[in-house]
Amino acid sequence: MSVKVGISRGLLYYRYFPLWQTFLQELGCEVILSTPTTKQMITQGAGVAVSDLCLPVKAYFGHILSLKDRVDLLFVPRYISIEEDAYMCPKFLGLPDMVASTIQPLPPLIDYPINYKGRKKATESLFYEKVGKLFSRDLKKIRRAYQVGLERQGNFRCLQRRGVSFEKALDLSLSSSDGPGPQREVNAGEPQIGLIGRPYYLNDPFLNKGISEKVIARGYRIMTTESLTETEVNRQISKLSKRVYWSFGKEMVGSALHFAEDPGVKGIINLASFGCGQDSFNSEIVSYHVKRMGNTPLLSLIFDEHWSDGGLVTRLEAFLDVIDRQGKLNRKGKG
Amino acid sequence: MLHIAVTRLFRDRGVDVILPPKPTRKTLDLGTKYSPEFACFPFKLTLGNMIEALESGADAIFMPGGIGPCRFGYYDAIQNQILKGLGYRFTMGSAEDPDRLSDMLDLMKQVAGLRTKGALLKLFYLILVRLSILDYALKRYFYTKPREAIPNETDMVFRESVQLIDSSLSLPSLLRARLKTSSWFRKIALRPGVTPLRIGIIGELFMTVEPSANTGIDMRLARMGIEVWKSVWLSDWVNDRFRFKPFTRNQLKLSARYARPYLRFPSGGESMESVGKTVLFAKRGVDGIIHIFPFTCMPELVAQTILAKVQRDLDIPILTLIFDEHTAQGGIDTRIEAFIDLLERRRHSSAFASPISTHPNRG
Repeated sequence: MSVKVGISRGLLYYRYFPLWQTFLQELGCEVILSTPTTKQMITQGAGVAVSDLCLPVKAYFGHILSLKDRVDLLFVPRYISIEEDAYMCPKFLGLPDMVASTIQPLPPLIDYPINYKGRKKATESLFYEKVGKLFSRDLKKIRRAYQVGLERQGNFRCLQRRGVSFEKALDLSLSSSDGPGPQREVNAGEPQIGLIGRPYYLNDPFLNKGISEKVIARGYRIMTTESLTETEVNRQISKLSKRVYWSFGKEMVGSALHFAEDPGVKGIINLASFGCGQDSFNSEIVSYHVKRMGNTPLLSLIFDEHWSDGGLVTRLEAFLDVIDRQGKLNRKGKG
Repeated sequence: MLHIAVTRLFRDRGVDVILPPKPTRKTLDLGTKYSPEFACFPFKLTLGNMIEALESGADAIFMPGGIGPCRFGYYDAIQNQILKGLGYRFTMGSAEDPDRLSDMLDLMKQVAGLRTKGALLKLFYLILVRLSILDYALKRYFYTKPREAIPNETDMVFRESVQLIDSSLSLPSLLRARLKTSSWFRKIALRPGVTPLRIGIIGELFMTVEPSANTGIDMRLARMGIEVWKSVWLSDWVNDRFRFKPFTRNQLKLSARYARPYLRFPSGGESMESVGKTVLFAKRGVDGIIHIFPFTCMPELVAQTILAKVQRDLDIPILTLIFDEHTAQGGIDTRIEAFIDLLERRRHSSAFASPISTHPNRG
């Protein structure tokens, strides 16, 4: 009988799932994924969590609660830093400890660290070797599983960069191992809206209240933080007086500046959590520079677990109206 | 405390140090007005303080920077951006990585204008020694105050020793000042047989150390007859990084050992100290813990989540006080008083259970 490993559909799932799933499946584990976020999960998660934690972490607790009785092991890796010059959020650093002290009883956690900072480095390949040793003694098999996982992960990110939505990219990259399919749909005429934020905000339609569908319904195309390459982000970041040293913060600020430069992008929407410490600073950098680089309208939306759809829709519509009017004025000016 | 340790030494070397006025309500309002909404309390307070310093004629500001999961390392860049946006003209000095000695020396070089490395090292060492002696006086104060026989004697001794330390500018005179402080405190008459309630104050460094940020909670507790233990001391914090006191333990490592069952990797800031010291204090017989941190502080939120389990496991009451610009002293006082009542009652009921209670004496 194969081991059931539970993965919570929250936080870093939205960045690393293809790699996680492929790796575990190649080693003969059964991956059990929690269902998409529901209101009940968030209520339950918020019930056990400290009240000031951010919404995604509360949702994560909710996912764990819904999973824990169905699995033999829980996959809660400790992501400390994924590159040499940046850290993750403190909440990722302490995530396994937070889960273990909040929710009980729990199945055993897989909580090895990934860390590229400091003296005690734990690289990604080392992490997967450690995880692999739980399931197999064959080091070659583990390394092969990791390689296959990396390929799928690469395809997945590649598709995302071509503007394919998260769900579609996930399906495509996991179903076929050969090269990525659809090309970027180039349509210069369509005005674009840039969505910036962390992967778990951009891609969880329950947390962001389906904002991308709402924008698309108004006739705009969506560009997200995840549709940029690392070089594009780094080029923008190097312009700052002090580079942002948080991985997701860096992506968010870099993409905002990139969108502000791009004349095709008519507006930028920033998605953040209530009480998010890093985004309080990142948003400050973004608004400061976007204001100076031109007049791209910027809308900041802050989410918590007490929301109503109405408030969001009103603000979004007003924002898009502004952009519509700007577009019309420009066309008149040219004509 | 830091400003006492630093100011005189720099003045002695010909640098005109402007001490911003003590932070008040107005400082905080100024800082809040120009800060991002969800920036943490220390950011707002220091920004307000900088504005006041610039208004009174400062032309250089020094703020250690850094890189870490916590926001503190980015303070200098954002504050620089905000102040420049307000039209102030000044230079901002910051250290690349405050944990590295060479960067700190570089920062001091910018301030003091000293050229030789020896002079810089000496100045840096003197600052650290002054800091640790000031902390020593404060520790003695926290021990003696709840036990004093004559009201206010401890406060007088404390004030005198701070003055003495402030006026000692060389290593020998500082060592003399420490001996004197020690003997002054020893001469204070104590009430016999008093076993005050003990409360451990844990949390974020700035909030636990800076009296204008935490409404002077530690001193007020001491005046209410409570022995205060603190998890972080400025001198220990510096010592963990630069090891200037070779015979003092590395407090971070010590905390990490005690925190091990609960928190296995420091998640930035003082999260490790908060968890580790709570366990340590509970084992050493503290009656209750007060956890202090600013609103939206990420590392301490992790600690708070984990402390909920520590509280259950070790049966130790924890009061969490979260500070922001809306915090009023009245609200804090009410909660502290209720907490103390609870601790007193707990002690009484446990005294009934075991009539002989022993207290290991400190000091």
